[in-house]
Amino acid sequence: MIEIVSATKVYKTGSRPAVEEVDLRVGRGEFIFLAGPMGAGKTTLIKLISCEERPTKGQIKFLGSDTAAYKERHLLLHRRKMGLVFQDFRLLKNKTIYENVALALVVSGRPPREIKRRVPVALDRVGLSGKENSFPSELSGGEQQRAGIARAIVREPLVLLADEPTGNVDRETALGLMELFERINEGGTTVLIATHDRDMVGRFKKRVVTLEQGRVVGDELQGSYDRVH
Amino acid sequence: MTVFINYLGYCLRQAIISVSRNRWLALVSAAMIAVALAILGGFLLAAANTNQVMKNVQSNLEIAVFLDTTADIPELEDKIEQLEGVTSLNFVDKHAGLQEFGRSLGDEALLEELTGKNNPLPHAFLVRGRSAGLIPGLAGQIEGLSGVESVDYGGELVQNITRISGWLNSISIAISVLLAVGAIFLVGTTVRLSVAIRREEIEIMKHLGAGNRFIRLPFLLEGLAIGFTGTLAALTVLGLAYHRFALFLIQSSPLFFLHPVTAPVKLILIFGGLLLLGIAMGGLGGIYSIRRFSGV
Repeated sequence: MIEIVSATKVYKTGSRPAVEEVDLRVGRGEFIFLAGPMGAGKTTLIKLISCEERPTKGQIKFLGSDTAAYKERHLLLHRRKMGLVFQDFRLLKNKTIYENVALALVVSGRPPREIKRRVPVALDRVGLSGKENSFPSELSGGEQQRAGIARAIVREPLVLLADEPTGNVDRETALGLMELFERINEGGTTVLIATHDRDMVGRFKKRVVTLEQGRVVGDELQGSYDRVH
Repeated sequence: MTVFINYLGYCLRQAIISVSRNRWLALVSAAMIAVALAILGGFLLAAANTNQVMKNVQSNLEIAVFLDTTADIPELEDKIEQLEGVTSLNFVDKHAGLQEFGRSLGDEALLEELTGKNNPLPHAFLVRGRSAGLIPGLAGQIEGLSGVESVDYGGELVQNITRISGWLNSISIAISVLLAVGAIFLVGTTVRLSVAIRREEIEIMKHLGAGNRFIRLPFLLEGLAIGFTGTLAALTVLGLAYHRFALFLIQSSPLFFLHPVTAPVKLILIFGGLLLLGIAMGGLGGIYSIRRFSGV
C-alpha cells in the first residue's frame, strides 16, 4: 500500500537530513509502530507519507503511484484517504466536538445527510457518544484525543497516521487510546503510530520500525523498542 | 448541486463569523470604501452634469454677426448662406435688436432714450451651424467678410466649461485612485487579520484535505461583503444628496442648460458602475490577503 524507496529529506535549516535513505514497505491492514528517540525522523516520515512534505531524494509511493507526480487535486484526494492524529490533538477550540469531527467531511464536500449519519457513528466508535455538544476545553486530554481520532476515522480512511498520540496523556489513558487504535486496525485500516514510548511498543507486539538519526535501524515483526542506541 | 450549496453555506457562515469577530476593523474598511466611492461618485455626477451643460450650450450655439454701417445686407446674406455648414440665418434689424435688449433689461426709460438716431446697436445676423464643432470655423470665415464688424458665438464660455470639466475629471480620478488604494489596503488588512486568527483552522483544514478554493472562498466573501456594505452606504448617501440637488436645480434655475442629468440610463450606469467597483475593491482586498497564506 505504501512504499518508501530511498527517501531522504533535508530541511533548509537542518544540519543533517531529517530522514536519510529510508526504505519501507507498508502492507494493507498492517499496524506499525515507528519507534525512536526524539529527533529520529519519525514525524518527518509521517509528513512524507501524508504528503505534507516532499522528499529531497527518493520516492514515496501510495497504492502504486509516485506521490511526486501528484497535482493539487491528487494531493487533496491522497490526504482524504489518510486520517491524521496529532500529539496536541489540534481540535478547534471554538467548535463543538460534533463540528470538529464533521469538519473532515465538510472539507471533502460530503452532503449534510451523510455528515449527520457518519459523525455519531465515529463518536460512538471512540466512546464519545453524548459529548457531541461539548467544546474541547470541557473534555479531558484523553477525550480530546479520542475526538481527534474520531475526526481522523470519520471518512473511513485507508491509512491512519498518528504522531505521538499518547504524548500528552497519562499511562492509563494512553493504554486505552492504543487499544482503540488496535480496534480500528482490526476493522481493516492500516495504522502507523510514531512513538518513543518503549512500554507501549513492547506491550502490543506489533511490527516495529525503529529510526535513529533519520535512518531505519530496525524492522521487526512483533518487535519491541528496547534498543539503546 | 447539494454539495455545492452545502459548501457555499459553510463559506458564508465562516465569512459572517469572521466579519463579526473583526467588526470594528471591517466597519472602518467599509467606511473607507464608502468615502472613496462617495467622492468618486460625486465627481462622476459633477462631470456628467458639466458634460450635459456643455452639450446644451453647444446645441444652442449661434453666431451673432454684427454689421458695420457700410454693409451690403442682401449680398452679405447670400455669401453667408452659401458657406458650408450654415443651416439658418436670421436678420435682426438694429431697431428690433434694441427692443429685445430693452426687454431683457426691463428699463423703459433707457429704451426710449436710445430709440431712433441714438440707437448704438448695429444690424446683425444670427447664424446657426449644422453642428457645434463647426461654429468656431464658420465664425472665423464670416468675420473675414467685408461689411462684418465683429462676430460672437460664446466660444469663451464653451472653452471655460471644457477646462473646468477637464480639471474635475483629473482631480476626481486622482483622489479616487488614492482613496481606492487605501480602501483596498484596509480591506486587505481586515481579511489578513481574519486569516491570522484562523491560521490554526486553516492548517487543520489543509491536513484534512481541504483545497485552496475551499480555504480561500470565505475570505473572498468577507472582502466582498465589506465592499458591498461600504458601497451600499456610499450609494445611499450619494443618491439622496443628488436627488435633493437635482430637485433644487430643476425648481430654482430658469436656465434651460442648467438642468441636471436625470436620464435613468445615465444614472443607472454611474450608480451601477460604482456598485460593481465597490464590490470589486472589497474582493481585491480579500484576494490580495489570502493568496500567500493558503498554498496547499
